[in-house]
Amino acid sequence: MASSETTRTTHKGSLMKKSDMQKRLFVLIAVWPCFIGYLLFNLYPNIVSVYYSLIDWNGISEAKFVGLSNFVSMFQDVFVWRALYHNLILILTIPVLTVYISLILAYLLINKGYLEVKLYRILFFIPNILAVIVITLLWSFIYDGSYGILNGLLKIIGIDMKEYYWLGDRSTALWALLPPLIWSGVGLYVVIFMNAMKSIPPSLYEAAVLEGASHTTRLFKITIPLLSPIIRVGVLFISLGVFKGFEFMLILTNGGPSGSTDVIGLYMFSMAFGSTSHNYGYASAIGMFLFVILIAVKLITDRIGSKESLEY
Amino acid sequence: MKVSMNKALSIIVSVVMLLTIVIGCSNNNEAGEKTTAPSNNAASSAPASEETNVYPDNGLSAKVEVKLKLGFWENGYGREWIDNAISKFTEKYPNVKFDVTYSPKIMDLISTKIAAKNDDDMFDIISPAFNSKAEKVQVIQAGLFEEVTDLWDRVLPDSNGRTFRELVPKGTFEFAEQYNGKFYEIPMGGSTVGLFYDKALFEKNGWNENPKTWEEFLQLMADIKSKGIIPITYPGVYPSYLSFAFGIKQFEIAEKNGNLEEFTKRFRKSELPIYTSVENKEIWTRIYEMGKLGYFPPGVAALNHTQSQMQLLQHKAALGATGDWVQNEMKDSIPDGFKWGYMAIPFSSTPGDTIWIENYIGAGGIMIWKNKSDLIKNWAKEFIVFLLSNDIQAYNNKSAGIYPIRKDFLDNPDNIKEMQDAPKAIMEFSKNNNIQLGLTSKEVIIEGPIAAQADKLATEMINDAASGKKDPLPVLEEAEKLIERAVKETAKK
Amino acid sequence: MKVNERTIGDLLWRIILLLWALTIIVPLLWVLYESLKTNQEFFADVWALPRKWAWVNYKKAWVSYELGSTMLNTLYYVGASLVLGTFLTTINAYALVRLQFKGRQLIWSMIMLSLFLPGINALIPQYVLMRDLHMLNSLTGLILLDSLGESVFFLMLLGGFMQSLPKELEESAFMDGASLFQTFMRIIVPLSTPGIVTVAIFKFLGLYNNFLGPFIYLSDAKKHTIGVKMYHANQIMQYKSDLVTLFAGVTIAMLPTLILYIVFQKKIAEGATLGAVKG
Repeated sequence: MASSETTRTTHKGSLMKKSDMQKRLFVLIAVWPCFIGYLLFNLYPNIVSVYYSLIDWNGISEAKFVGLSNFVSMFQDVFVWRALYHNLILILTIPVLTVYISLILAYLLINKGYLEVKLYRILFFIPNILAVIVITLLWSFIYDGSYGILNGLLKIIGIDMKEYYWLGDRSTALWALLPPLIWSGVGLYVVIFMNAMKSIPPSLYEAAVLEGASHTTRLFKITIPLLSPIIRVGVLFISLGVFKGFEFMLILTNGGPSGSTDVIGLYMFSMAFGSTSHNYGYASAIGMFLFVILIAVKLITDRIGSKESLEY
Repeated sequence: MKVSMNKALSIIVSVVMLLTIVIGCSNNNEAGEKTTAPSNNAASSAPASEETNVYPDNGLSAKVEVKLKLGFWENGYGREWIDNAISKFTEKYPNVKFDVTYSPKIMDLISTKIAAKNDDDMFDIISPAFNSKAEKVQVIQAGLFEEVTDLWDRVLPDSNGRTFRELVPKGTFEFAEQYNGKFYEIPMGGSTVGLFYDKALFEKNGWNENPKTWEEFLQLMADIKSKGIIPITYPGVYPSYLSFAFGIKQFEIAEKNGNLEEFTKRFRKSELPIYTSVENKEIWTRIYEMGKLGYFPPGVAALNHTQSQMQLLQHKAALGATGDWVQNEMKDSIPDGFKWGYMAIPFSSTPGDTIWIENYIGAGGIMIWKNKSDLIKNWAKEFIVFLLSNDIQAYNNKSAGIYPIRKDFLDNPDNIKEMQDAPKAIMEFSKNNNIQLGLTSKEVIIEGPIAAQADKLATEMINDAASGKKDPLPVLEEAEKLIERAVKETAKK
Repeated sequence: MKVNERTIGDLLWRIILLLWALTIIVPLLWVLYESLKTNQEFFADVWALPRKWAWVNYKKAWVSYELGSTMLNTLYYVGASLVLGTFLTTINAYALVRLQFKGRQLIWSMIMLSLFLPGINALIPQYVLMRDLHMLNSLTGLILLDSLGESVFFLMLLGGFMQSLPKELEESAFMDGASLFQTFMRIIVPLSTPGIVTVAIFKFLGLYNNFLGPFIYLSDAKKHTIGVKMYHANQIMQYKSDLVTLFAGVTIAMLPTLILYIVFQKKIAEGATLGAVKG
């Protein structure tokens, strides 16, 4: 490192002077088209949405400015808090489970020389390719009371659930959503973690192997700490996804039974485009609240992550 | 500070640059399109043609090219019927072209376009499809659609000089969807909702296919249940399907209590009480009663359309709460020997009392966007009238199962021979019972986030009540309190 | 290190891997054989195998979903967005990760902001904007919308990859008198191929399955892409019970993705990183 630093400083003067103009041009081409597209197509509509959150508007009538009234009703809205509670349950489970399952699978695929591993390396990513339609249709039949695979399997091992609909009961519906949500998200992280694991120098493991450390010890004591920066980013993406996503709920349960799988994204969506009149202003207020929550999620994952973080 | 000024300047400059590029590109693109398809505006400003080049039947020019942009809701009736109507229409009037956007989710496009407030971008004509009844009321109140009341008085070409109003069965005009006496769509067919079943299954078990009283109906439920079959199924993921069987019963109760007129007014104008009205509470008490006896599927909240349909086709359930489109929508999957039957639930204990049937008079109707050129609007009206001709009615009935709207069509036994089983079963039920058609439409909607919460509360209760898990009455009280609050808030503004 | 200890533990791990694999293989097979049943068979028993293989479903799906013309639209939309978008993302990632320039930090933090935008609430303003820019009902407009813009995920993925390249490579190129653009094209792009391919594949997945944008912005059904068609095919099942055709359509729609993935999976296995890019 030190030598390259010096090389850079020695050449910096001449190099930079010559290419100053060129660099500006390069940055102009490289950075600005995307950035302006982003400002225009993403940030600007969201800024307009900030204005929406201050109006009462159903998309048809003239918009009425109502100040913070949408926010006042939002904080009094039990459905908002109930939805957030469901998000809380999901965020305490999905990121951790997705990451751990991905890590274990990736570790097995990288460090175990089983014959079938080569096939699995290709196969495990495939849930990311399947369309949501297929995944949801499949899971609705897995959980079906009369035709479901799950009840069938349970019967084989001696548990008779009769005609129990896993997604039809308040006590199980939200939990029953975890497997499809995790299953469909693991593949991507298996690939990412496998790739990261490959770049860990074998020498780091050698000492541990000599000391007789088991695979479990190696995974938790060496691999995971070394991967922690990537894991942290992964957890962040999954967590943000948990708060923003609602596609599975929309299709599988539509928030039911009796609201037990309603999440904040779905509630915002149904306020804007649902089966009552459009409440664009209110939906935008929920959007603003969600924005604040997402930033909080980021700060919290940073805090938790940095405690465990180990540079390598 | 200086740095950030530079930054800001360069941002602005680049934004302008990009905008120029973007607009440049898209303009080119648009110009390219114009050459292939002349836009409506261009057509409407085209020079008027000579007097001789007008269609004798409607007085519209045959020379001026018109293109109607139709936003079509592809639903249980499919799209073949509209394709047929369009091809027949354009055959007759070759200067008229259609540009159809078919979608099962057309309502999302329609409401996005409405919110974006641009008349050119808007469809010229649409299927009356909205995400909610509330939205439909709002768009009509906002005056966004063309009034078409005058079409009731049009003399149809194949009607021997009679007007459309004279051609429809009694009560149709009165019950067709209207707002303060004005019409924004003309019914092209009726769609009837209620309970649909397999006649073969009922015959095999000797079940009562026409219960005359509530008690007889409950007896039927018990008979079905005793065979280990679910009496009534519906896709609980969309709980409002249950209202296909029960929604209109509020009117039946009101009539029995002797306050039909008052109730109808209160219902249409959304006057309080809404959720805790005698009529509504009565319905939910009965559903809850049935729920406790296990007359709806276990885990109904998890059933999607496919799962619910499967229960019906496999005879795991006996009756389905749906509409007469069910036959058309399930035509590919019906097993051999399955024959559709229909019944509406009687709420009275006296045989022979009126049984109300919900009928969305106006199936397949068309609405016209108001801010369009007269040329477009005139041709749109011609198209609506065209849909009422008996040729089209016959095709729609045969191919899509749309219930015909014209008396002179229904009176001809040859026409009825071609009718699908489901609409035929409805005709039969209507003949054998003292029925009253009705519609649960509203003219006033209480809106806003608090009203939406009340609606959500009541909707979430549906599956709970139908599973016998939760007493609906306290929930209705709660919803009523919310709607009261919503009314107060609206008054304050 | 890869000592094959045949222990009970290994057996257990292999069973776990096999079970996970089955959760993927079984659905794939399920979709495949459902697509070969008749609707009557489907509604009689969802899990049973077809008695006779109904290949006609594929023909029906191809015709009724208009997959021929849809594939052409998709090819144009996905192809152009992919080429333009991947190029822009690559050069963007390079500039943001490896160059120092004024405002970099600010830009980067504003891009980070996109992670927290809730999404659906901005739909109406975005529609109005697209209309004002005359970009409605135009595949080209949609391509611009989807190519210009920032994605933290892609920038991190590609940025993470580029960060792992040694700095000396560029410096020696500079010393040889290469311009920044030449260095980028001749040194960075070839070395980052696995990362670029990975980004391209992920972009492909997103564009190919994207339905909301094409549905809202393209009202002319003749311009619809495969994502919208499959969205509609799925939505229409509320009003139709022709599920076997849907399965056939889904299978056809899945094929290009599956083939591309299998062809490029080696590159993805190298290129999928999530570098923690420090602003």
